[in-house]
Amino acid sequence: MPDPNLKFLVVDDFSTMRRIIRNLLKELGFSNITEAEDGVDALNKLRSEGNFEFVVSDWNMPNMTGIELLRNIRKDAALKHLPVLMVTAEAKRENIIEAAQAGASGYVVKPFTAATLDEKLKKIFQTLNM
Amino acid sequence: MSETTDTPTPRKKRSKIADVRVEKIGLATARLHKILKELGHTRRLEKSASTMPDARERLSFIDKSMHEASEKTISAVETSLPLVKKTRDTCAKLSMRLADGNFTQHPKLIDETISKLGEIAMAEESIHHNLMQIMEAQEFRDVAGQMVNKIVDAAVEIESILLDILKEYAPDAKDSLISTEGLTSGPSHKAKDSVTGQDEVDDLLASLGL
Repeated sequence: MPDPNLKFLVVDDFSTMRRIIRNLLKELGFSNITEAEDGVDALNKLRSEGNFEFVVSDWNMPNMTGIELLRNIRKDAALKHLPVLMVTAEAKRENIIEAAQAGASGYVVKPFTAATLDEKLKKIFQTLNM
Repeated sequence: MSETTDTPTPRKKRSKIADVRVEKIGLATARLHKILKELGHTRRLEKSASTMPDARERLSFIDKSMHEASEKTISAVETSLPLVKKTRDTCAKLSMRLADGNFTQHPKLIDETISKLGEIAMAEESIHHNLMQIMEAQEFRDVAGQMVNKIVDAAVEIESILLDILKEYAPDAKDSLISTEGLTSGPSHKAKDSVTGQDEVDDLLASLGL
C-alpha cells in the first residue's frame, strides 16, 4: 500500500467532479490532494510545487485538454515519471488508444465508482512498485 | 498514387454529379426564396430564431440547477460522513468497554446493549456505503452538464443560421440576439466508435499492452 500522504493533483474543469474525486480518494485513504481546473493550471502547479506524485486528469477541458497535459508531462524531464490516470467521459476507442500512446498510466470512463478508481489506482501502484 | 494524367478519372464524374446537385440546391433555394416571400414566412423564421435565446436560457437554467443541487448534495454528504464514522467508532469502543467490564448486576442488559451497539455500528456501515453512492451519483452533473452545453451550442448555431437566412430574405429583420458565450464542448452522445463501459476500456487497454 502506498503512502497515505501521496500527493495527488486532481485536474477537472467541473468543480463538482473535482470534489467527487477528492472525496473518493479520501475514502480510499488519500487526503493530500490539490486541485487544478485545466491543463494550464495543472502544469503550473506541477512545475511550481514540484513534489506531486500522482495526477488524475479529465480529458475535455478549456485552455489545455487532459491529453495535451499528459503529453506535456511526458515531455518534461522533471515530470515525465509521474503516473497519470485519465478519468474522462470520452469513451471513443480512438480516445483510449490516443491516451495509451501518449503514455497514460490508466484510463477510467465516467461515470465510475470508488471501487473502479480503487482498482485502477492499485494496478498503477503495483506496476510502479509504489 | 493512381492519379495518372490522361485517363478519365472518377473525379470528373463526381464533379459532374456535384454540378447537378449544386444546380438542384440552387433551384430549391430560389423556390424557397419565392415561397418565403409570397407566404410571408420570414416572420415565422424570425419567430423561430427568436425562440433560440429562450431555449438557451432554459438550458442554462437547467445546468445551473443541476450544479446547485449536486453541490448541495455533496456538502450534505461531506458533513454526514464524519458523523457516521464517529458514531461507528463510539459504538465499537463502548461495546468493548462493556465486554471487558466486570458487571455483577443486569448481565442480560449488558449483553443486550453490546449486541445493540453492534447493530448500530453495522447500520452506520450501511449508511456510510449509501452516502458514498449518493456522492458517486453526483457524477451525472459532469456528463449531463456537458451534454446540455452541447445543446446550447447547437441552439446558438441554429439561431445564427436562421438569422443568416433572415438577413438574406428579410433585410429589415432584427439584427441579432446571438451571443457565443464560450462553453466547454462536451463528449458527443455515444458516437458509433464508443466503448460501452469500463470493461471494454480495460480490454482495449490490455490489447494495447497497458
